[in-house]
Amino acid sequence: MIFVTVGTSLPHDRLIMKIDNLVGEESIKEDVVAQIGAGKYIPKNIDYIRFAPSLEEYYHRADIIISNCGAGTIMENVTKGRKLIVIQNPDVTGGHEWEIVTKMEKGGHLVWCKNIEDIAEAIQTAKTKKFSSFKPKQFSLGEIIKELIASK
Amino acid sequence: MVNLRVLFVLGSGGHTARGIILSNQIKVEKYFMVPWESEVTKRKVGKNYFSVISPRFRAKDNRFMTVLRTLFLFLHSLMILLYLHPNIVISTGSGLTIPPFLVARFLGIKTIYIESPSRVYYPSLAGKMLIGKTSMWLSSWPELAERYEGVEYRGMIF
Repeated sequence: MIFVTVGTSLPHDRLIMKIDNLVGEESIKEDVVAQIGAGKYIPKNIDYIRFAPSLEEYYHRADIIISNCGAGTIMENVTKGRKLIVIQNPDVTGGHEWEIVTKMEKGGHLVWCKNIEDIAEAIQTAKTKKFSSFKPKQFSLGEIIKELIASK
Repeated sequence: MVNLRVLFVLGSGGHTARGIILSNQIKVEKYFMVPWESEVTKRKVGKNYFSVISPRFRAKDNRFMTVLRTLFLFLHSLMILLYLHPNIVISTGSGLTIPPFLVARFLGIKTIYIESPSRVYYPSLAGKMLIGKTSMWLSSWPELAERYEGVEYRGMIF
């Protein structure tokens, strides 16, 4: 199964429409489930949900995950070594996503699809590519707070 | 730690997700500041939240409204902080952050700013403005801490 997620901030109708069309014309033969957020475009050929409290079960079931460039989504998946394709949503503010995406792409943790027209190709790449999992150092807020309170 | 009162400044999407993960790490009296337009955030937090106006509505907004909203958020932050008087205010870097953080500094309340993992080399606009003005400024990547004075790297939350 291929799982597509746009995240919670803003919808990405163009991506959903593109994937839906690729499934319709059978360029994508796998089952696809999409999390479309508040999107106005309703897919015709794929299953969809709008929001879910957690996407973990979808990530877990998916062979390939296609997501926006949200740092949370990226970290949740690269830390587990899952097959992840990211694509920028032009409507999301900032434009700083290249920082984490570049870093993770260099490490071989994801496939960066820079143009929506190349998404079918990116899926093919992801199928055969080996994704190494990324292990970041994590911190404990409790310890930081203790330190801060002690510091006066 | 149980007698500490901590206010988390949330936002939408990843900022909120990280704020909630952090809040679950500690046993303290917890409160949240959430943008009124983010129903998802309110639902995730459930209780103990203050719903506030966001300074910006993504790209659609004009500058005048942003200034007005920011001023309103300063006043609202002052009211919330005077009422709640938390020991610490923590932000995961959403667009709501600057007003409550500057008000907290004015009132002598400690602040912890935690930059998003999406910022590897450069801080966000809010983050940059707050460097040197918080009790702690934590980056998610060592690269950022190396480039900016006053930025510390302890690890990442996602």
